[in-house]
Amino acid sequence: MTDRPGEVVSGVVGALFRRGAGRITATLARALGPARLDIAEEAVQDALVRALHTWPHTGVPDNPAGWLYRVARNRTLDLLRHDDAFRARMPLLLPPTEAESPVRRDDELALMFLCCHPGLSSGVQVALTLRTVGGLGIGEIAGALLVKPATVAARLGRAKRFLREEAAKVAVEVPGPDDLESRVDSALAVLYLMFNAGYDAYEGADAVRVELCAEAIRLGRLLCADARTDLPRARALLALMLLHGSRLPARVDDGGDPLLLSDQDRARWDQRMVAEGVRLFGASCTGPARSPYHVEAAIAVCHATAAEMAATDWAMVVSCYDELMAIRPTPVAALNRAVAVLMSGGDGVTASTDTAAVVRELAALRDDPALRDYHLLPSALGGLCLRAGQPAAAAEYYTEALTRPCSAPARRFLRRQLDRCQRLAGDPMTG
Amino acid sequence: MPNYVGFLRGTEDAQTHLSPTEAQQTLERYIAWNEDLANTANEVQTGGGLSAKGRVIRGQNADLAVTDGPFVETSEILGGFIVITATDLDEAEKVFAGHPHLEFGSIEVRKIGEQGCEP
Repeated sequence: MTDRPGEVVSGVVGALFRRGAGRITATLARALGPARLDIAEEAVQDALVRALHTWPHTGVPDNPAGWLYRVARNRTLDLLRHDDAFRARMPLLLPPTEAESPVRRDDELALMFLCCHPGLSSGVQVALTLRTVGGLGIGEIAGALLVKPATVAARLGRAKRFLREEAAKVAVEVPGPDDLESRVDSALAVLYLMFNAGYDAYEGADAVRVELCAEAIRLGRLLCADARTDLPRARALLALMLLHGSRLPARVDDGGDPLLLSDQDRARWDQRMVAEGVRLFGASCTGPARSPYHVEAAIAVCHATAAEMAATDWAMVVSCYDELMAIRPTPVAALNRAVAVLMSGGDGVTASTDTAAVVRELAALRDDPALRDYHLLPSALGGLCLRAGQPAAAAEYYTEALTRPCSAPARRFLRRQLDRCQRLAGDPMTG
Repeated sequence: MPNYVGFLRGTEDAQTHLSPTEAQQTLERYIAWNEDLANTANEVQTGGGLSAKGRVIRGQNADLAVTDGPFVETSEILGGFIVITATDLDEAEKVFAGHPHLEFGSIEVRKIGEQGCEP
């Protein structure tokens, strides 16, 4: 029979299972405490499988989310019926009233703070957040983060061990005023990583990576919707993600291959996201502190509001990168700054001198261990050499980029560039 | 036209590894299969999911033995059944051959005898 991807069949709504898994896990985990996160996940999984076995025969119930919650809750009680310590907490797991959503307003926020606990390493935080709050499977997380499923499983195992061992010290709660700021910073760092993982590896048709960006934006909205966590830097990060996210539909060609910023059809940028991002960025510029997210969002505003590549305020972009290098110097920021300097044209310097200086600047970054696996550095160097009329040198950089891990479409892009270099190098007249 | 029953068999854990998204996609394929059949001559007559646990009854009177099922000696359990209409077994086989359950287990197709147990 026909497979109908993407179509809503018989009232099974959008991402019901994925969203439901996150929300119900949040409610159960809050009642059960961090040491029993496993139980919450098992109960939710059982509820989904039960729905899978039941709904084809009975039809989808009127309140599918409520159905899933009821089954997961009963399964939890069943799994814990011999657990005396749990009995005391049972009143926390009241059945939902019919009209009401089973989820307390901040259950998901509370679970997110648990997953982003500073006692966990960032890789573990991201995996746990995607699994537990985002409802993604191990294979999906592995695919989205470009790591092996075994690596994801190991990270989740470490997280569960930590939560069991430290159960007395961690809580499934939105942190109190004392450590709220630092805990929000951990959560923002996780969302930033999550978004970038989806954005860098975006392959158009690959829904999981779109979900990664969408999930980071959704969780960012949760933070900004709660008065306690609606900090200026949370708004700045959400603005940044919306502004970058607005370009996702235009970032690949019809074959799913990445397009350079200069080749993108700006009419395909999501103008609603741009507008919301710009508005949020404005709302984030309050209070004394300017976070790295503010600076990156300012850069994103420059790009998103330029009618065309040439109209970009490159001088402003460069000064933003200068500020970024001052407050959070990273090799990637240095790389982007160098490219922006080149685009800004400089003051009366010829293009080739300019390029040579930038190439030198970037080449110095190649020794940085943080960029050892970063294919965009040799790729950017290749692009600069190509532009400077040095296809042979460019070919070497593209060859180097191909030895580094990157998505299949990015690989196709690099091969195409390499072919171009080799054609040009073989025929110096056209170089 | 006679009715044919398809017994959906599978291991108990065949679907527990599915991610929420995969589980929902599978559910949608199951439901779509039913709906695709709804306006054809083979429309689904009835069906049902079966609980994983039950009882097995053997013997009589004093020898009556009741054990908790299902049937530990089999690795596959009977998860549900679907009854459809078809002209013959070949057609019934063709209809069930497109069922998404086959990704996870087997389907045993049998005619429901119109005159007792037909050979």
